[in-house]
Amino acid sequence: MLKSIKQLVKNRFTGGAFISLCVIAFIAIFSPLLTPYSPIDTKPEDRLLAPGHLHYFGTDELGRDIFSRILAGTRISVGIALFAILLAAFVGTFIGSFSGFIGRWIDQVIMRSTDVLLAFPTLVLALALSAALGPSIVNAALAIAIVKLPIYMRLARTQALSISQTLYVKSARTFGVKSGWIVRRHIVPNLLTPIVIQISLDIGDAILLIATLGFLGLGAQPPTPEWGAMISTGWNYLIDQWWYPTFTGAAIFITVMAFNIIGDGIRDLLDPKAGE
Amino acid sequence: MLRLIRARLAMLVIVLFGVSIITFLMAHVLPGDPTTALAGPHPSQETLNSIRAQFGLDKPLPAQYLSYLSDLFHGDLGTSIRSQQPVTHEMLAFFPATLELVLVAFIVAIAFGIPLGVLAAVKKNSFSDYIIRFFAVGGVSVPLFWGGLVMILIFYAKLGWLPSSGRLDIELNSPESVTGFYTIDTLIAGDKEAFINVLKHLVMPALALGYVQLAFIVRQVRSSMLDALSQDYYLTGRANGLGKRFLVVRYALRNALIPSITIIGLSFGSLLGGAVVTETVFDWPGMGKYVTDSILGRDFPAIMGFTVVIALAYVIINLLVDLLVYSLDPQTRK
Repeated sequence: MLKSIKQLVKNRFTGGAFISLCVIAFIAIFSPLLTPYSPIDTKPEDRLLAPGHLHYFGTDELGRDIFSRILAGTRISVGIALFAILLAAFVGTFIGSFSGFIGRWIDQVIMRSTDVLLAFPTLVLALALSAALGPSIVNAALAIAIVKLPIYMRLARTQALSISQTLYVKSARTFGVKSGWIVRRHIVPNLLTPIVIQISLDIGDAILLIATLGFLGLGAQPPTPEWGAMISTGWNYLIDQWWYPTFTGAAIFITVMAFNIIGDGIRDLLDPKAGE
Repeated sequence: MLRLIRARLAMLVIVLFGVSIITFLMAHVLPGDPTTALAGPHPSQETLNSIRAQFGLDKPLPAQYLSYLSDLFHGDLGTSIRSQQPVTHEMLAFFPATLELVLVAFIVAIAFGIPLGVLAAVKKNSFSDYIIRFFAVGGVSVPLFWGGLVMILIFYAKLGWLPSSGRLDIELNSPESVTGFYTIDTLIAGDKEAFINVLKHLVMPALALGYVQLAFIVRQVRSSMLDALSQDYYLTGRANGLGKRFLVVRYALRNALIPSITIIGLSFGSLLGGAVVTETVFDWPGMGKYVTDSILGRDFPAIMGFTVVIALAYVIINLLVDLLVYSLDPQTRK
């Protein structure tokens, strides 16, 4: 573990991203202690102030400090993204390896259902699902988890299939080892690496999806300081108070970029064949 | 080839059935029941019942699904709650604008993405490789709406070079519709001023949307190109004194493009999804703008109609991509 982190930091690209990620994690965990103002309480007399030494990123239409709202939003965006992806990975891996191990018609049915889910572009399905479930941040997270589910199902299934064909599993079977033991000791540990790689590649995308749903009015509802929803409101002030949506968007961009670079780095590290 | 097409068409039918089930479930079973959206706040039980009867929502679910499916077969996507017009008609009216935007973005992405990807692979770990990779990671990380916002701030608000919304200035009349593509229609009409105006309106949305796709393409082409450059045929060619440029263009690129085509085709779906955001940001009168307006108006038939149409388009595109790869790559024919 420590060695891997060292290797990540050595590269200038991933090193920079790793430091950013540590900062982002720190902000997400300690944001209530870090925000100079309340991200929720309104202060109408301070509305739409330009960035300055009192309000680094200015204030919004209700006089709330945008810097504080961005800090508070970190926990929401990153937390929800992690939740959605881990949910998808957990459920998807379970169903997928089950499907690959059992085979027969159950496998057929499950795989066709992933085909159907993959017939929708990610954003369109997430959009329709969260519109159908009703706009809220929990529903947005569920929608993202469902959209990401088929990737993990397929990944786990392919792995489970090829692992159950390996010599060591076959010989374990010949010696009468029980299926449960094989799944626990052989299949799951071998599954873990590709699943972890996929999770690390998906988190950035999930943050983007949450922000996009929020921007379209389908995610978090006011007054929650969610980044996408903030930009959606800030859009009305784009020309005269450019800082309002611009800084918020920059926060999304930097966060997603850090996650994506680290994701690539983890893939190259764990799976040297895939990267370079 | 014929056998492949037949097998794939059979798959397509299964997948489309699945798609119809999913959209049906989203529209009829999930908590956001369309009746509550229609009936307004605090409806009486009678209003709810009459609306339910009107839309056939009082029948058992399988019966509802069958009538939904038969409507779909007849190209009937239901009636929009907001406009009371058939969703199919509205979708058709908005379709050309979206297709034009998506195609231009796609062309931009390919025209820049493939050369940049090749360059990054050939000059691996050089300064230009790092710049290109950084540029590409930026593309997959930038929120589409924020990219559009920054462009509007710079090129519209600050410099005043480009218009920020719509397909054409309001003073200019939209061209007589032949193809529905304003670029082609203005050319047919021979209206040079309108043509240039249309292009100006296209620049920002197409670049914003194309950048994401471009980033995908660069990353894919770079990695499959690197793979090709480490293959025996390339090394043998080099050892026998063939020029690097010749080998890259003649051999490596050809082999690297085949996996890339699949990925490029798959990521076309992200263009269709991205169009929703881009059209909203640039007020582009296409299907994407239509669906975000429908979301705000809780117009379920319109949202689900859009979802079905996009899924259908996406599935067909993927089929075409598969056939293209099949006809290009002899290895898939075994």
